[in-house]
Amino acid sequence: MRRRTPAGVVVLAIAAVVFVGLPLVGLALSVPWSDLPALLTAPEVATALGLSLAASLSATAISLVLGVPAAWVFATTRFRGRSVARGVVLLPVVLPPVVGGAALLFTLGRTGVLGGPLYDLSGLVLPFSFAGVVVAVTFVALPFVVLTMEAAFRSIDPGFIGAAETLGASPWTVFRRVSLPLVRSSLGAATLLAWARAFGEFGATVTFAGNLPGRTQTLPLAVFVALESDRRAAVAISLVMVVVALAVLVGLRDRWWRT
Amino acid sequence: MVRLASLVVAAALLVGCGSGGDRVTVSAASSLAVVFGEMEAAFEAEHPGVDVVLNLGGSSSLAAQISAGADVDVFATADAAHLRGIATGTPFATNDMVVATPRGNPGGLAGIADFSDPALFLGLCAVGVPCGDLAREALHSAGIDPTIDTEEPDVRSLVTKLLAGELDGGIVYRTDLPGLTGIEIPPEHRTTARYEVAALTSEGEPFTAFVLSDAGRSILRAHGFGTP
Amino acid sequence: MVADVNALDATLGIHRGPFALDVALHLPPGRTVALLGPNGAGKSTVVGALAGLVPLDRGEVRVGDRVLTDTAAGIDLSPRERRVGVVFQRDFLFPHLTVAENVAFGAAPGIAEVWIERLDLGAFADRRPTEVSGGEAKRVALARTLAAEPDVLLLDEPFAGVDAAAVAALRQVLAEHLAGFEGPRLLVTHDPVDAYLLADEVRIIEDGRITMVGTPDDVRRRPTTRYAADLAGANYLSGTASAGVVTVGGRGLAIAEKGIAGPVTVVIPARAIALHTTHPEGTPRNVWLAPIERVEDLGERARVAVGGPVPLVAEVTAEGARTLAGLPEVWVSVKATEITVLD
Repeated sequence: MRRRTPAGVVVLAIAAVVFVGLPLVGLALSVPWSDLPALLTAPEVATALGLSLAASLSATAISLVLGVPAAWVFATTRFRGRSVARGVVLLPVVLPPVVGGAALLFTLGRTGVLGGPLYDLSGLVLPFSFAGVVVAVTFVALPFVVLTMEAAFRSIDPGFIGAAETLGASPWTVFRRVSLPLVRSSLGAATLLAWARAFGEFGATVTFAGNLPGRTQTLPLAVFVALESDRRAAVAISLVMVVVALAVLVGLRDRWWRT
Repeated sequence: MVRLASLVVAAALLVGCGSGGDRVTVSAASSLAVVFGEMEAAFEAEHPGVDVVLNLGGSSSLAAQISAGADVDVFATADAAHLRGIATGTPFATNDMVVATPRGNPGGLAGIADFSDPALFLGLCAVGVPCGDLAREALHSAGIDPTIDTEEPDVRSLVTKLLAGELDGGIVYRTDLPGLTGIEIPPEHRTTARYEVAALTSEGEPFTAFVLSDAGRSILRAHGFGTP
Repeated sequence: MVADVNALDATLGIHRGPFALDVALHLPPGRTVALLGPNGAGKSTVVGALAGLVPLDRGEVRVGDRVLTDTAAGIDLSPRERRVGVVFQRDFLFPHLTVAENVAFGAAPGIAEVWIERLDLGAFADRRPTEVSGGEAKRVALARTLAAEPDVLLLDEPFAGVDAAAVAALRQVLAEHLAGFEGPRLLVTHDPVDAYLLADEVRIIEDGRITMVGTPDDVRRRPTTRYAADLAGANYLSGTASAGVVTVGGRGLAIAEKGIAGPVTVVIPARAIALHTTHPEGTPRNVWLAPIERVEDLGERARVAVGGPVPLVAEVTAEGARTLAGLPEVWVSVKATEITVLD
């Protein structure tokens, strides 16, 4: 059956694509194509890319491990203070990332509320380390997993859960064999959102983990710093980020929607 | 002299009221944040009806914004190079680089030589930021190969980390010392930022003149800047 | 083993806003009890309460001496611990598993295959639930529930979502497997045909209360509530059709449709049955002598229950009933055209 789309809707849709696409076109036009190979093969770029990928993938994994159970509890259990707990977990979505980074610094920094004792006990310091980068980007990515998956778990018809229980399934079995499979497509979307958020994070990273090439300088930080010293390098590195992001988004195509 | 300047300013304001309106946009390097805040207050007190808007940031980004056509009336930078191609600047302040530690020097730094100690948590401004370049010049002059843990994009975030006690030491401007403990860099290695200011439009001339005036200079000196 | 099979006893009290449920149930093992009532009467709530999916405000559920719920003692076993099997109105077959995997979900190793075969699911065992018909899905749901080897079997509207053509076949399947299940069985439905054909005992539920308990015959022939009486306005019988004759209880009844064969349900409206004191002349093909069991005065009309191989409830005028008074037997005649064949 052919669906007819109203012309007004099409116009707005085109406007949406243009709004986001134009700055990217501008970026592409500013690329110093002749210098590009030299700029891109600079060791800082490869290092920053490696750090970005390692940090964002780690953050995605942690966000899923912590976020999916949290989402399930929020969706299925009623407990006092649930809305407060959920609000807290979702706060990083609304807060400016720098605020998040500052909060992390005051809590987990060497002189921080928790970080101080941690340092005294174990000598472990999170700021200025790669682990600190992972903490910072997980902080901003985790809420997206909770947001997406809570909605998904809520949408499961409770009849399926009831049927599984009458067949003798334990709560863990229900979660593993019924709930999780039923939200598979949302799980894919949540993973992608979390990774994308982590990959692009700047404010929390620079405020908490600092900026050191080879240890904590991820691609967004590299771009920001390059803007100060060598704008052509900044454009080139931005291009790398755009290409990687596009590759992932286009490469997955509809696959992460699939049930 | 000030009297005459004020009359000129008043006349210019009356005559020049038009496209710029009563708003003067000043782009200034972030190390000028506090002192220019006071400049703004003093200038607005003398010129009621004029609203000075401060636009703070790294000198390079500010220069880029101006080149891209941002509506800026005054540009004050810590590095004369950033003014090149935009306008001719007038030197108005100097700011020595100095080693800074959290209050009380918990890391026990003796001086610039400790910047090659890997056990300490040390920070500098990033390359390309005037604060970062000047710091590295000083280190290079002293023959020190620094092992640092972060290159902050601007001096304010470096100072924040020092104030929080997360870093044991950093190299910042003398004017950033309030709240921190400072250790002098030996004069033979010390580097100094030379600030220049330029009016980019006619609306910006009164404020620029104020910065260069005696009133402006006394404000600068009160905050720890040197005046040429 | 029969020794392990126990009866289910329950008193269910639920008061949620305007809805109130006050029901007592005794389900002996090896018998099918039908809970029959209009929509909204509380039938599905009873299923939910027995299965542990709906909490009770007041009451008890026991299977033998196992206590599943006891509100006074604060006992409320989770559905998982109850071993009460449910075939739901909406099936709730897991869409991400195949038919075979669904059946195996709660089953001990090796048991699933037995049920897949018993319920003839082999042809589509590897398909997804969305790829099978309503009747097939019901069989899968039944297999899945039975494969988990519950102590009690509850069926909630088992013919919902099954299209008319498949209902007769499904009824046979249910009859067979209900009879084969040794524990207590509860069949919840709004359709009296299901109750008459599959149940040993019928409990009528209206507005959250049981209003009548009896055998299907009792309900049909001696209804004690208006709803039951409405249900009783017609006689439903099971038989086998072949070449224009439906055999019911050993007796052949001529019907109008000649082309139907196989298991069928026949409907004879109470008012279409004519009773005669002598052998009637004329066209009716279906005539036989039957003992009068009961005459019930309904004012202008009367209900006469006759026995024999084809037990029926006939509705006649009060006058007509008077002529039958005292007679032990009566000639029954039903026109072939008055007999409706279902399926």
